[in-house]
Amino acid sequence: MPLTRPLERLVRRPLALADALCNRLYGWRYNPLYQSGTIVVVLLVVLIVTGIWLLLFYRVGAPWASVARLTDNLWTGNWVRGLHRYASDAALVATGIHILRMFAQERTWGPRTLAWVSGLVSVGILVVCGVTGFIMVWDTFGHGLALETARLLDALPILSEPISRAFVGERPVPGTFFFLNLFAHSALPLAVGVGVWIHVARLARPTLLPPRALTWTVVGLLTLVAILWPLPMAPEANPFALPQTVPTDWFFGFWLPLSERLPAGIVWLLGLSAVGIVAAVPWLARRTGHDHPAPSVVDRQLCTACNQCVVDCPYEAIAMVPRTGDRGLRADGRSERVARVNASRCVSCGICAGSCAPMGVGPVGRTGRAQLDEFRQFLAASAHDPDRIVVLACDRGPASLAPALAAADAELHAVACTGNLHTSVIEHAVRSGALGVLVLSCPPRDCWGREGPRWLDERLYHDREAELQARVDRRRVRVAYVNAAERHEALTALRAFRADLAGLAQPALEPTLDLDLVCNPIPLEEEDAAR
Amino acid sequence: MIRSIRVALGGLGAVGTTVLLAALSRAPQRAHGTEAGLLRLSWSGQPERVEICRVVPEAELANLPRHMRQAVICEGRSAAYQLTVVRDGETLVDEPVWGGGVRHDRPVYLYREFVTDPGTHHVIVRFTRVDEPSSPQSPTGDSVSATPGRGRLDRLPPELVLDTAIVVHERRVVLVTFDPGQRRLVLRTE
Repeated sequence: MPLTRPLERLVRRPLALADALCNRLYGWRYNPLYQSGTIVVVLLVVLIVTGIWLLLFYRVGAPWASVARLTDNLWTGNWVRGLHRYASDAALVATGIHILRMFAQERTWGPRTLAWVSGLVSVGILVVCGVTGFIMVWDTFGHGLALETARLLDALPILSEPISRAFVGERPVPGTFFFLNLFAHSALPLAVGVGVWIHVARLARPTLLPPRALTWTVVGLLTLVAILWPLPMAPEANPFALPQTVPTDWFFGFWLPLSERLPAGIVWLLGLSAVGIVAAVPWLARRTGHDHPAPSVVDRQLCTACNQCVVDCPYEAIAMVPRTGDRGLRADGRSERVARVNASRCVSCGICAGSCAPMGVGPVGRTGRAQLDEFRQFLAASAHDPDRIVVLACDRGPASLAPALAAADAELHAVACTGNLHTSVIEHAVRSGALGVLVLSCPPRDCWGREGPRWLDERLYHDREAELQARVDRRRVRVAYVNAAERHEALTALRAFRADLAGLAQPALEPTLDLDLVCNPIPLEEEDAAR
Repeated sequence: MIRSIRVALGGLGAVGTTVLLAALSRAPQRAHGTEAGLLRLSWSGQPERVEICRVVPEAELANLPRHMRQAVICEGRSAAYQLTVVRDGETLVDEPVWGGGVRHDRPVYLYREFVTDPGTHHVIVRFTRVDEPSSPQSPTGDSVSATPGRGRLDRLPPELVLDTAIVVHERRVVLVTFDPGQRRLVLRTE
């Protein structure tokens, strides 16, 4: 068992509760916790735009005076500076939530290692960029940051001359220092941009921006606070004064009170240990042996080269390749190509299992065929109540509500992810006489496999391959988005569905129908042989 | 939950979070809790180069190839210093100071701070070279004067002493530094 698993579980519960609260207040579409990553991107854009504006007024020869002049200007200076500050703080908070979320959802290791490490590097650069920004102002907080940072750097045997002495009043702080600091503050965002690019490099269709309404709400609220509660100007840095209190940005300066009281060596040890542990998460959280989810495999005899799994894969792990040297080569040339899974990029999300009509692709044990087999066993063991509603719930979220749903007379069958769910399973459930099928899915932005709920919706209602067949009565199928902590919402959805089903006639069990043939198409080669 | 209540609570939550964010971005941190000031020592300079020379005996020279025969051989190194700080008769520090770098041949960088109560204090700061040039007797009995290395203007003098009364104000810093122009320790408060 990976070392991090207990911690992942520990984080998951409060996160689910917070998600449930935000879902109730804002709805899952606009839940800011689900959009933490995209909110960071929006805030980076705000930082760049406001930063360019502020740069026009900054003078390296008189840093504090130029910022003070800017702060005095209520219309074009102060609120822009406030927005710049608050956006940087909010970006750090959103990043923290994003990191916690990815950690709790076990999205840290294997093919996601690159995203984790590049994300961490980007956060590190963002923090350094923020620190240089506070030093630019050269107020008491900036001076404190500069002194402490210099003390820590001086402890390393890399600088020929200690830089602390530049800030202690022996001589005026050289203008070159402020120029270099400004250069770093302006250049580092480029590195953050590269980091974000690498961060999403392995994703298909990366979502970079939140819904428009959420974007404008976040930017609007930060702007409003910047206008209504103007950012004050702290006193100018003075190496000969020891201020009693320093107005501190706790998001970027939270470490100062502790660091100032400890020897530099201990601070480095603590800091590097913390960074090392977080950076090592992909290796600490890695599942091995029995725990390791198998990557998807392709049944080359079933593959029709329809390309749907290639399109649907959220991680660009599947490609179509020529079917060379394959014993399954078709003489009629209908499938000259075949899907191939790149195991090093496959996170075993299983989305491809739901996208393949002939059920020829998916992680071992979770292909469409395996899902049907499992569902048949579930049906065989179930009570066959004529009024039963079958609930197909995502194992990573709403499946934990099983006791509550069972108490409400629903038969719950957990699936690895509703995005994996092959529509044949739903069809099988309806045709086997269930009153209705309720699919309880995680909200779209909360899917561990990124795009599962989106593809599920399209397969059920928009004819996306592998679509739910037209012969299935759509009134008996419903999808509801709930997370593990939304017991009330799940039961409400169940009750509403039951009420709607009450108006429908009792479904007919189709014993004469060969469900195996309908829902589980035979391999093409066998079909050919039969012909 | 009634929609209007939900919207109101959602709005309040969003505004509250933003205000909390703004408050945490400017919340005061207690930096210096006491009224005390600081006595700060900060200066740098090139340490003197100390050379120890000896006269090489004729017999030893004879054993050397002609092009290597030098009558006087000198070995040099950067001097070390002793820093002593005494405040109102109490010794705050008495320790050796070397130049930077593995061979201690880089400039001396000195930076020390001492918390000092407000008021008038008698302070003695002494920075003295401890590597004295030696005058070893040559094997032949010839004595040779050891000489300091080639001096440069920015090299630290053999001894720097500041013996004075200082006035420390509440939460203010008194800086003792080396003035290369005057080649002595000076006080700065602004």
